[in-house]
Amino acid sequence: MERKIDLPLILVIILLALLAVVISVFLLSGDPLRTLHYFFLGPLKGRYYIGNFLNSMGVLIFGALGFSIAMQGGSFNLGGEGQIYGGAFVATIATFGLARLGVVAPPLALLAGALFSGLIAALSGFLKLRWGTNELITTFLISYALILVVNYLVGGPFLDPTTNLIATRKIAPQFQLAKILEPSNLSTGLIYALLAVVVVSFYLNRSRSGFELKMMGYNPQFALYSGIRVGWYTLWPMFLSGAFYGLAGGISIFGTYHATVKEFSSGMGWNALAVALIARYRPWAIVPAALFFAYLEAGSRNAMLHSDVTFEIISIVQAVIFFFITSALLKKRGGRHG
Amino acid sequence: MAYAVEMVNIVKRYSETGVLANNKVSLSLPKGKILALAGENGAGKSTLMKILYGLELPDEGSIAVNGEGVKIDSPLVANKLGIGMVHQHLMLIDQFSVSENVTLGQEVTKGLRLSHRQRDAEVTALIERHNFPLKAEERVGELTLGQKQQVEILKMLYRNVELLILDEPTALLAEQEVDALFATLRELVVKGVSIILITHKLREIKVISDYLTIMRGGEVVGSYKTAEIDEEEISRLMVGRTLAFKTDKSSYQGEREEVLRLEGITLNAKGAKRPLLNNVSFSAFRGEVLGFAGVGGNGLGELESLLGGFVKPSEGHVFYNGEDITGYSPRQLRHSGLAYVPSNRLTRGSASQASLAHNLIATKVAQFTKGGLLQRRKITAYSNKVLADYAIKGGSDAAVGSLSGGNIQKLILAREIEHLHDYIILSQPTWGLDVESSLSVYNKMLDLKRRGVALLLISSNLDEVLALSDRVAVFYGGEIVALLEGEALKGATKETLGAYMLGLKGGGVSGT
Repeated sequence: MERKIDLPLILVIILLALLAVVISVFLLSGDPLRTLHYFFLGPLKGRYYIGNFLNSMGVLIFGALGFSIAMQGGSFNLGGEGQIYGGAFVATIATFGLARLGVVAPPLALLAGALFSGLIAALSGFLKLRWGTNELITTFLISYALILVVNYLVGGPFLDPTTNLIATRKIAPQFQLAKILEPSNLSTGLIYALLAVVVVSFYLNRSRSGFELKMMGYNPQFALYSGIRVGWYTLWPMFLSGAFYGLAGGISIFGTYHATVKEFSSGMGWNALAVALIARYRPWAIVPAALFFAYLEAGSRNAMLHSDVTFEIISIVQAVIFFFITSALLKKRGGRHG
Repeated sequence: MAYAVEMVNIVKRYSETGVLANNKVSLSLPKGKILALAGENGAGKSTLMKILYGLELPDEGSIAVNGEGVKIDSPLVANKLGIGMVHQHLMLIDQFSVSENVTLGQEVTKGLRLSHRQRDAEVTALIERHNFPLKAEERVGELTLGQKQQVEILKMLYRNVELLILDEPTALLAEQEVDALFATLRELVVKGVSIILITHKLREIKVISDYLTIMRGGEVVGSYKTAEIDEEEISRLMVGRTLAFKTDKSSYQGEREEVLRLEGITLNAKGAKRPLLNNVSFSAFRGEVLGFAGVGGNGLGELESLLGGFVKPSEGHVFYNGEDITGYSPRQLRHSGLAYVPSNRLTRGSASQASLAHNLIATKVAQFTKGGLLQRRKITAYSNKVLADYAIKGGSDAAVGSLSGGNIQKLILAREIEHLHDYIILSQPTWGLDVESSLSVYNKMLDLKRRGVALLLISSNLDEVLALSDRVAVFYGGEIVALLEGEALKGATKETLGAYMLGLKGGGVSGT
């Protein structure tokens, strides 16, 4: 059975988030109406804006799948920030070595990034299994250490001296994803993201491994009792989760940035987490949730460019969503006992 | 007479399981007296006390404290009314000192700063007033269980409680610690505190209480002055009258072959003075029901967990058809033939968010997999068949959480019986089932027995233990104190078992 989603509740929370945007714009902007105009209509003004807004959906989908698959298996992966960034970096440098392999090189480079982030996340699973450390803490901490390491590598050994950016060399054209809606950034990355939703959904609902992973998420005691390999399913959801975060990073390099720019992915992990929360970790629901969040993100960016508010306005939306969704979840959990 | 507390016609039904935990329960306690609240596991004692302490809300009924009607909807309200509770599982912070634990939440402050000296002085004074062998500065982690319990009591005294609830306070204590506890309780009573003691130990009831209320199956079966009732009568009231159902006991025709054997199993627990299981040995044979009886806290819960692979013994061996399976994980046991109906159907026996079908196949998903993919049609067909065979009300796709407690139990039974190889562990198999469903479970069990299955039945329902078992092992204090079989079992009544279970008789282990 799928986790039940309380649709009206989600809608109320979304409305509250939008209301928070409106209120903060009125408080912060010198010309609130102009700001709101760009916020809500900006993302839809023409091919360029629409394409860019849809493009950020792809990364959000991959990231949200990453968080969700860990949650479905009963584990937390709060390391999205570092795993996206790390996966992006590894995929980038993998392209430098793999270029000669021809058509198989791009998927291999993406897989290298996914494998790297998957192993980073699985490390937290291992620590949990071996010493009972809380993966919520370790994923978070390791992720931040990883960001600093990648920052060093991007700014040091892998720095491309020919640009003014703190960034790696550009990846070769053979690795760059095809554009769909020129002149916008929209690439085939979005199609791969939608494909990933189908694959994850199929995995969770139709495969034996997905079945066992979900049982672990529903009730680990019951999984143990049933003879399911609970040790393996402490590691595996974490690995998958990290791998999807890694893909999120790789896809944004191949589709949009074409080089690992220092901290280019800052905030992506948390945004993806917000999307996963709205979708209640169900693959199909991630698509509309990502659409919604990408729209708000594009709106914030537009409002920042054309008016006098900062991009951080999206953080308010994120905060409202985190706050209300987690409190709704907590209330449900608490209500069972009281 | 002035009453410290009066609870009238309390009704509490748990919505998830549909269990009626308290059915029009009334109880009263005169000021400055000790009331023992006695009954088997699942009799509803703890629920009633949780209601009094504000941890659960009653569906119906009223409560009066010191003669005034009150609504207690949180432990904070209970504290304000002078009600304190010492839980069975102590709630202390090991890293803190005695005085820190005692004053937790009511810290002594000087302006904004904590005043350590004043706090220690206050707690020391309190300790001296009650003659506890404790020091205010000692770290709680270094204390024995008995001392920790005294800290819990101090905590309550510090908050000036007038009514103290103790939930099975002696469960983990050694003899001398029990004596010390009772001395403390007597002193408290002299100082005007009223006490409710949840217990199911007969001796303690007689030794310490002034009044006695006995519960069974969510109802009060009687309230007495302790001096006016004898132990046998208490025992009889606690376990209830004999239900009349007849079963055909001897019908397996095959060889008497050993399936499962435990040898000298000991299970040590951290911090407890005595082992949870002590040198337990027995064999289970084909075509035989081996019953286990014992009061909660005497080792049956641990035995169940051990047989299910959830805990590993500190000493001893387990053999299955001659093979040493000591320390096998649940997964290994499942592969080697374990079928197991756990007493805790929601936390261990099922995944309430998953569908009925998925709960039914969770233990053998490999049989419904082809090339790594689930065979959905086969799963649904199997599930529909099992649901029909076992008369379980609910569709294959419905979530287990939407079923009643009885139906969940039937589902678990169905899964385990279908999974069965040559032995099955059944813990509280009819808990929460009505009479008709219980009978169908019994018939199923006897059918398995005829087929040569070894059945291990752990149950607090002595009627079913006596009616179904070919042999009965009685546990007390983590040991088998009696193993009844043949003529001895035929002549046994619930009173006989009760006497062993409550530690009144014991030591005479006969046979294997």
